[in-house]
Amino acid sequence: MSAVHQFIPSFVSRDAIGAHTLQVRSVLQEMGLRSEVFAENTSPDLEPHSRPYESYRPKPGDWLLYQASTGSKVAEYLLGRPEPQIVNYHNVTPASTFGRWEPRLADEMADGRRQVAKLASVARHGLAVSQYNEAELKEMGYRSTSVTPLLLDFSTFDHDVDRPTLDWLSRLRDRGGASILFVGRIAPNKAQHDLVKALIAYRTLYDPAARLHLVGGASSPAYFDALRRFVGHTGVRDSVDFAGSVSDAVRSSYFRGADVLLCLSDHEGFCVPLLEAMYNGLPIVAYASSAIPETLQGAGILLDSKEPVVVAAALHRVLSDEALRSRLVEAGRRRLADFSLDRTRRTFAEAISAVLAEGAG
Amino acid sequence: MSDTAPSLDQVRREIDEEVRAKRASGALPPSLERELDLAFDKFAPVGALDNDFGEALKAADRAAFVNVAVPTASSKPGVSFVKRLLRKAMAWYLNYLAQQVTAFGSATVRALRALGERLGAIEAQIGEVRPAVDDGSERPPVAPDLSEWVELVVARMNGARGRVLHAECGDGAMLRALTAAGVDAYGVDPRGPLVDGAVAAGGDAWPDDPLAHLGAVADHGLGGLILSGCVDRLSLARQRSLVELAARKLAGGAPLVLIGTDPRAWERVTPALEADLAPGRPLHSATWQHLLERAGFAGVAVTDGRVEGLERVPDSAAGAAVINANLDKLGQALFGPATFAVAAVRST
Amino acid sequence: MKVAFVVPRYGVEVTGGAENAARMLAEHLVAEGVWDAEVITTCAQDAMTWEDVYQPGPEVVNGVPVHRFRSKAGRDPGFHPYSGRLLTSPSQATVEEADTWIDLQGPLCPDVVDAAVASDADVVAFYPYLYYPTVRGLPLVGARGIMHAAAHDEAPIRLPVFPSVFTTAAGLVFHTYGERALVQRLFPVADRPQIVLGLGVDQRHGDPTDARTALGIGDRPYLCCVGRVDEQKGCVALWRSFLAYKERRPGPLALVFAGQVVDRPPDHPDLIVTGPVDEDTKWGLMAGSLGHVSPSAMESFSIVMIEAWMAGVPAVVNGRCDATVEHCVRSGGGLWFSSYGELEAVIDRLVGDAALRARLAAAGRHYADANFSWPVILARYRRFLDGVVARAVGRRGAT
Repeated sequence: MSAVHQFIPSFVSRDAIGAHTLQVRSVLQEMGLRSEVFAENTSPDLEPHSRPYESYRPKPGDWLLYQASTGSKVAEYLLGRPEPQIVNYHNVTPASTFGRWEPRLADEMADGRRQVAKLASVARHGLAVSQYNEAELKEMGYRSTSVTPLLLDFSTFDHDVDRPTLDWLSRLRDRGGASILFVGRIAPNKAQHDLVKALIAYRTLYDPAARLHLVGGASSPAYFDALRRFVGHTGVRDSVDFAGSVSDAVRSSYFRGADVLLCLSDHEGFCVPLLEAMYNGLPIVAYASSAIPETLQGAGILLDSKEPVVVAAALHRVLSDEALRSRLVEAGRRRLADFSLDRTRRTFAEAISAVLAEGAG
Repeated sequence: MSDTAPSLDQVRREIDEEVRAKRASGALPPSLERELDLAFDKFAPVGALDNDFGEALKAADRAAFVNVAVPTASSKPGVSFVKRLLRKAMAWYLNYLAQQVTAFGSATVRALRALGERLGAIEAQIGEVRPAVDDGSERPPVAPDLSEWVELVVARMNGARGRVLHAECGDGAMLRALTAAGVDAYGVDPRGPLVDGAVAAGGDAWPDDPLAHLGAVADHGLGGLILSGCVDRLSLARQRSLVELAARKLAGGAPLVLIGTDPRAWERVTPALEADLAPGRPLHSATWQHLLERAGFAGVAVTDGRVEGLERVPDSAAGAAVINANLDKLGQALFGPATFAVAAVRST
Repeated sequence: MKVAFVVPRYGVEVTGGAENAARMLAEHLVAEGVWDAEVITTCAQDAMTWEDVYQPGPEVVNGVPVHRFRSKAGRDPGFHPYSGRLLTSPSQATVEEADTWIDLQGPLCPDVVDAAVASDADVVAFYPYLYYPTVRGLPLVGARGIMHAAAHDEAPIRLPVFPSVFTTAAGLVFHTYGERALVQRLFPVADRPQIVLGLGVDQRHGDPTDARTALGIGDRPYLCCVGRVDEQKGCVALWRSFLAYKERRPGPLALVFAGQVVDRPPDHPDLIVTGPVDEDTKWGLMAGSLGHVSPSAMESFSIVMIEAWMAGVPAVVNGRCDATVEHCVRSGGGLWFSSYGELEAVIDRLVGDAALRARLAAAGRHYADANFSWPVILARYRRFLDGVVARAVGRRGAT
């Protein structure tokens, strides 16, 4: 029996890529393949499912599958391995977005991209979670590629809500003013400062009581610091809620309690929160960058511009037009079906079979 | 999804309409949008130090100014007063020193900057391998005949979003065809006399070196690009940087047409002086195709130009059909097409 | 079609290169009658203080409608110390500091900016790049905003407020190719619609004999230097060099300075200082000279040099001044010097070679007529404006 073992720099349970890795393992095992996860770092709850990557002992017929999303020692290790390899690419944030904020992180990201590019010479195949990512793989010189969406178990979106948070949000709603939500790490590529600008325009033009909820911990302290000072400087400190890194329950409460999900990111390789919003029946307004149009596929208002007035007008439209809102929510539900675990697992299994057959032949 | 897509477009148009109305009504003060943009930049770090010479120079520049206003605040009672007194008493001395140190620092930074510029110039020259830069003055001001490509170029550039650059534009014949088709086209050519002619004929043309000009264009600023002439003569290093620049300066989805001379035909069709003095040699269409694809162009397609064959015999002559068919084959084998066009689109 | 010129000061009493250029262009456009023009400006006359002098409100100056607005502040007393510190390393300044610099420099006139935005003109043309009205106004008028930059290689242009100003302009108008090259070196604007327009010159005729009589030159051969007599304009260096020349080459040759005197030349029989002269005398003076000398290293265009060519005499310019050297190179109508030795050689040739003088003068004359006569300037400018309008309309249609 041959094997496909996964290698991942950070194996963390609450991370979308960590969850994907677990799903992939079960798909591979269902296919009758041996499959283990080798990691550089592992969160305590996943310890039983993981082994240090240096402990890998090769057997004939082994394939190695690398979960690539950042620069890592694991990639350097794989570059030196003779076994046939597959790269599952989740996109590495372009260093340019971090450059002036976190030069050290930017270097890491640049390294990460270089590593993925170097792996092109040893990898037999590149699996990308979006066509956007696939195009990047091709640009890096991957000759054989395919698109297999992220394996997402929607039931993980379905948490018990955190009562106090939901109560607080509904109290806010009773007092009037829309709740605009964004979920994602606070980082330059997610452009939270553009969300603040849009909030200011929206408050000025339509809804002086509107609020912005930013859910997610900070990836860049320098950016977070500038963002907070910007919020203070523009006089909207009381209207911007920095929720930080929150529990799954609190996260769910935000999705239930908000009125619209607004995403103005400059770079997203896939953007799971969009699916979470669809799952929770939240309409979406998003800036059409990177993989976002592909993930949305019409299930939201896509903007070609981030100009605050334009975003404000779009928010106003979505929040004031009940028919449009329900149409968007409905479109979201239909789009979500494309990502159902049944379908995505099947797609993934087919892609792996094809690669293995190719390798054998 | 298909049922919602068109109506969402409608919604988007309505949003645009709304934005226009809001702006016109003055509901959002015109200065606020700009202030918002600037306000955030204020809090952004100026740029981190690394091996970048420019950044290092900036840091030195910053350190060159010496401030004599010593902070006097203190948590201990009375100390602040004493500090202020000291500062006052020593001001004449400190100012004198500070002026000299600042002057020295500024002079040093100036010297460094001059040095940096000279280094940059040397690096640029080394990069070219050949020190000679083609400023067009050694080439006869003879405009190339691109007439057989006008139709293809106009078709490709029609509907381009943004300005279209033709480098090198020669006497502006292509520019005129593009302008007549409603394309916002302009051109550059290092040969001044040709540019003067293009301008006199109503074209928007400039006496610039194509590479230098492209370098001074905003990234993703161009709506379309036509390259001809220079592509055949530049050194290999500059041909490569031309492709990289084209990729960087074109907007996503913007068309590119490169008109090249086939290396096999180059000697035959190029004036001796121009051919001999050219720093480089033309590349095959397949090479351009490869370079363009690697640089991020999609849909790269090559079209071969006319073959100037052998003179055919009159159809009335005995066996004319057979002879002419063979003449055509022979012409094809002997000469092949003199020029080709490589069309591509900058990937989004 | 209408163009609105937005300038920090405007009026017949205003003497400044860029402001004067705007006034000349506006007046000739209106006189020609194809395009309408209006002017939006402050009440200031003096660029050192920006103090309100003119009455606010509408006015017609030489046929051009002018709208004047009060400034909220002129030049701040703290500007010079602040500027001195900031301009030691301009590229190091933060955007915030540079913004403050713009405000302190003055004229701080939000009303001018608002009027520019509200104007119904098809094109809004800002002069020059350096001041508040341009920096604040240009980004707000969108695709109809163009800039007559009047850019120099000076410290302020490296302040971080200016990249966005230059890259926002829907069109750029330059005085010279040198200015265009400078701007392209500093900002990524090569693809912007642009034109090297230069300045128009009204040719007049003056009688050389009358000028000689009026200024007491007699029948000596002379070189002339028309314009402000100012060390900054290179006049001090010129008279020193000229007196040295006269010691080595004694003779009747004189140097005539005609213009407002800021730095007074020494009393010397070979230096004639006339003070300001009227137009007829000026043209007569130039026409009767062996050549016109522009000693300034800081000219952005030099109208007087074009005038000298129109008056039919050769030009001599400072070799360190890109703009005037460019005129000489392109026209073949003048010589330049970068040292005393070169100046000596230039004067020797000019004085001793009548055929050379005639050749230089003819080439200069042809260049001036072909490029800077008003009908040529207006036709080229209108064509450029038409292009700006077409693009603005296209862009509006596309959104």
